[in-house]
Parts: sequence; C-alpha cells; structure tokens
Amino acid sequence: MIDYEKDPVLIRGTEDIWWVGFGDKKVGFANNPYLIIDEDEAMLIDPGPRGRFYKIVHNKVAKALKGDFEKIKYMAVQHEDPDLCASLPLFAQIVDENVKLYVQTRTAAFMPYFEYEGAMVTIEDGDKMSFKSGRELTFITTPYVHFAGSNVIYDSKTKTLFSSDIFGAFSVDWNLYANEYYLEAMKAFGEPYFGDHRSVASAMEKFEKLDIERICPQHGSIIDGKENVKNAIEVVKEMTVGQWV
Amino acid sequence: MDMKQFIELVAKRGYGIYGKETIEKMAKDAGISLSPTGVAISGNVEAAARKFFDAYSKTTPVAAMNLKMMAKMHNIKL
Repeated sequence: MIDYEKDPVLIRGTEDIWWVGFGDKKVGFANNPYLIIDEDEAMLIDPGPRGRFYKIVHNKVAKALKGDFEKIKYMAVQHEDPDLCASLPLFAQIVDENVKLYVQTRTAAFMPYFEYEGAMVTIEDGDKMSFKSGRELTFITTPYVHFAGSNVIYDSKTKTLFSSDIFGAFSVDWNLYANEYYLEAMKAFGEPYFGDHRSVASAMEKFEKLDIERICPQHGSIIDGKENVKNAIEVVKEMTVGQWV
Repeated sequence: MDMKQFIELVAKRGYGIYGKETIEKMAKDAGISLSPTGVAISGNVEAAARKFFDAYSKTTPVAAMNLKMMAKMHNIKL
C-alpha cells in the first residue's frame, strides 16, 4: 500500500521515473517534482518549494535513491516559480558537487534570487542532454506559457513529457493519475494562468509532433495513455485564456 | 447562458477539483440537485445559486478565483 504522504512512487509504465511530490489540500494544489534515475545517475526535475514541503520531497528523494543524493548529477527547473524551485539551493548542498542545472536562458537570470550559485547549463528550444547511458532528454521551450522562460522536457526512452505547469490542475481531491474529471480541473488552472492563445497554440503544436505516452505535469495529475494525452492537448488548445485582461 | 447552465458548468469544474461527492453535497445543501441530465432547483434559482456559490468560494482561494473567472467568461453577475 503506497503512502502518498511519505513514499516516492514509481510512475506506471516506467522503470526509473519517480514521483516525489506532495498534495496540498489547503491550497488545492499538488506539487509534483520528478526524479529520473538512470543507472548510476539521476536528474531531479523542479525540486519544489521550501519549508515543510522541502522535507517531504527530500525524504521521498532519499527513499528513491536509498540515501545516495550524490547520484543526482543533474537538476532542471522548467520555470522560475518558487513552488518549483525555491528548494534548489537546499538540494544543491547535498547532491553531487558538480551538479549541472538545466534552465532556459530567460529563467537562468532569476536563479541567483533563489540563492542558487551552482553551475547552470542554459538551454534553448530543441537542445538535448544525455545521461552516461546514452538516454537523451530534449528541452522544448514554451514561451509565455506561463513564463517567458518556460520549457518542458521530453524523455524519448519512456515517451514521457514533463510539462511544467502546462496540463497542470487545481485539485483538492487529488489522484496521482488523472480521472474522468481531470480535464475540467485542468481548465481551472490554465484559464486563469495562461495569458495568450498564440503562445498556447505554439506549445501544443510542438507537443503534437511528439510521440507521447504520458504527461507528467508540475501540478495536478499524470495523464497516462496516448488517447488521454491527445484529448488533453485538444482541451488546452480550446481553453479560453487571458481572461483577466 | 442562464443561471442553471452556469451552475452546471461550475459543478462540472468542481468535480475535477473537489470530487463529485463534495460538490453534490454542496449543491444539495443549497437546494440544487445535480444529475447527468442537468440541474434541478426546487426553490428560488438566484437564492440557491448564491448559496451554492458562497459555499464553493469558501472552500479555497482557488475556488473563489475560478468562480470569478468563469462568471467573467460567461457574463454572469455573482
């Protein structure tokens, strides 16, 4: 029996991608940092906020890595929201001292304000990184959805899209995997936070070219299965965004 | 969009965020019956809507934000 408060969860259909996040019922949000463990190397994607949340993520990462934080050779921040990256300097103190942080140029500018002083690899659209095993991750920029420096990450080995806030949702009644009502919850997040249809359409156009088996968003639930992925893309394409203008 | 249709939309959105059971109870307490065929209200529609939206808004700040957003999108006065 999985204890979602304490246990890291291996993502269904993968052998090495772990959910190390937490649900926050008070805000109505789930925050979903992910950990890829590729043989003796690992990447932590969007490490999450500070405070009690850091402790939760830290303990889950520790369990997934059996305490060996130095396996984390890579970290990635998909945009500069504090719920994604405020804990960055805390993790930087315990992971491999030569850790590389992958971050888009326009997001990199903000990293010093999170007191992150480590090495950064700045990425642009289509850039790739490889683990020692040869496994390749592709960085795809999604400007203005919902930050100028937003990007997502595609893992071709597992056909997983780590989508940052795109396909995210507000969810008090949270499940790790999206249920039949998820697309509505996704609108509840996307409509207030995405500003412009052109930028959303551009991101969706990029995703439609990928072979995606699952979407792992930073908030909400994992969208599993090609048909569900296709439906989710259609819903985001049709979202009414920019309504606060 | 009339008020009944708007209630239905808010409820549907709420199923995803809070769970179907929670929303159905919230609606029932306001005198609103939700079913796959639509919304049924026994008393005054505006009063029931107000009660439902008040309860909905109080759950989290996120809910209040979403309700405002949907009202703006569909030109509904809360």
